[in-house]
Amino acid sequence: MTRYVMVADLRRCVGCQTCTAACRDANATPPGVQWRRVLDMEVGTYPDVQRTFVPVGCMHCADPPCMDVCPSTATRKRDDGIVTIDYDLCIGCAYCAVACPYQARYKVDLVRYAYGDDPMEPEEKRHDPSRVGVSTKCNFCVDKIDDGIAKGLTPGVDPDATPACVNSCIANALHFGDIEDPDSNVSRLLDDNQSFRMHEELGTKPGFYYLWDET
Amino acid sequence: MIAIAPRQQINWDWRAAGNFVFGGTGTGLVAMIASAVLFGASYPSDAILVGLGFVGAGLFLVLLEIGRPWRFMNVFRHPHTSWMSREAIAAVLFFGTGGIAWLLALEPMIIAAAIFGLIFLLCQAKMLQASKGIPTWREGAIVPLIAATGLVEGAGLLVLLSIVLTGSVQYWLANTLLDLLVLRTIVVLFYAWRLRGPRSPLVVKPGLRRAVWMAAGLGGIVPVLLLLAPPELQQASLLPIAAGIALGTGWGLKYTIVCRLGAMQGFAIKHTPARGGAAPGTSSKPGWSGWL
Repeated sequence: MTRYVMVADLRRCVGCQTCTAACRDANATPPGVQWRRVLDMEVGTYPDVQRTFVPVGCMHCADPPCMDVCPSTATRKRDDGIVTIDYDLCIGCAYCAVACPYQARYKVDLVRYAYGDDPMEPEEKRHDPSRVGVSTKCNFCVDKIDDGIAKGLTPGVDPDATPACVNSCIANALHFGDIEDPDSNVSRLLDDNQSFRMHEELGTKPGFYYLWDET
Repeated sequence: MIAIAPRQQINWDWRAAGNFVFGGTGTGLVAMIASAVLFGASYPSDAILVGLGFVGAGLFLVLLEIGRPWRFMNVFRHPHTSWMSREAIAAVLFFGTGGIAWLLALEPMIIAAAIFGLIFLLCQAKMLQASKGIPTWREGAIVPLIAATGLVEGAGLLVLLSIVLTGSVQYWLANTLLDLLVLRTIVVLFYAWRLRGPRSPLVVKPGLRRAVWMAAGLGGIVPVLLLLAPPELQQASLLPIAAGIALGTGWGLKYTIVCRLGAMQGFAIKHTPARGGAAPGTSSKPGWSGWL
């Protein structure tokens, strides 16, 4: 069995937002929609203050509350753990958005462009009307993964089968792979380091791990 | 700059709140009419239509909210786990039985409509509880809160309709309203107690306090005092005032819960990373009451 997860090494992330830009470029998300974001968290009080950059987005939970609440079955979880949305089924009720504890879902009711009412040429070319009025979110660049696997590539190892945010990371902080494979890059990273997942107490079993120290 | 601390959700606005407001009132009203049938008491028969109208108005507001209203039939596709699908199915059964009850004046159908209405009301409450991203909604006490609020509104509205349509209010109904008000007050206080301290984000605390004053103070104690006044005063003026306050504060409470207390979970980390030669730091949960 395969389960794709993402691993973010908090020691390495410098908060450059290249992953955010790469995601927006790869997925043509409209203004205000960021499937991959990097939080800038300031922890502590002067003089003992630390700054931590935390990549967030859809956590592709093993027990996704968004899927349970979805009345249309538009949100589904694949056998490989990737949570997807069928834009042709979604009714845009946004129930999934209030069920997600990670603020990962967006619903855009009005078409907007980066500079006013008129789209730039790339915006016009890549505009997808099926995404208007429905929930959208990170899908781990699922089309790229499927295409890569069909070509015999390994997600998380071969860039052509790996999410855009991971490929673009300048600090090698983001990693992607199959957690069920003990020899995968993510399994080795999780073995060699201490990690946590966000809001684990809510029982969603997120597929996004944060490394914070060596074991 | 991305907000890290919990902030009010913007996906469900007054239109979604309207579904909870009108849905609770309509189903509560039909439940009260069914109680009259069971007690052998008289009731204004057109009140059933009013109840159906309220629920219909709430669902119409939802249609205005969703992004793809022409796909509304897809709402029925996932009753296995989705309380929204279950709510939709309960609504169909409620309208079917309620419509027949009104058209043919069949009392068994009123009972059936009330049962489906109560299921609809339960579905609404469970819908909020299943919203894991909203700490004040996922709290289990939201279920009795939404149920009790709907029943109070139904009783309050039946009092007002009885006065308008028949000119009087029966003793059992005034008594039921009194009992339900006491129950709602207790449930509101319990809900607020469950969200005390670190159990809810800091941003909702002021709104939560106002909601308690509105629902338990103005909406609980005031109408209860009015209903405990001498009966001759009640029929004349105090009873409709009490019913109006019960109704209005219930609506206000539900609007507040959806549109003011719907702060999202926010973000948190359990450890800050070990960087360079520095040791890892403590956890952080901005916008809550401090550290994890």
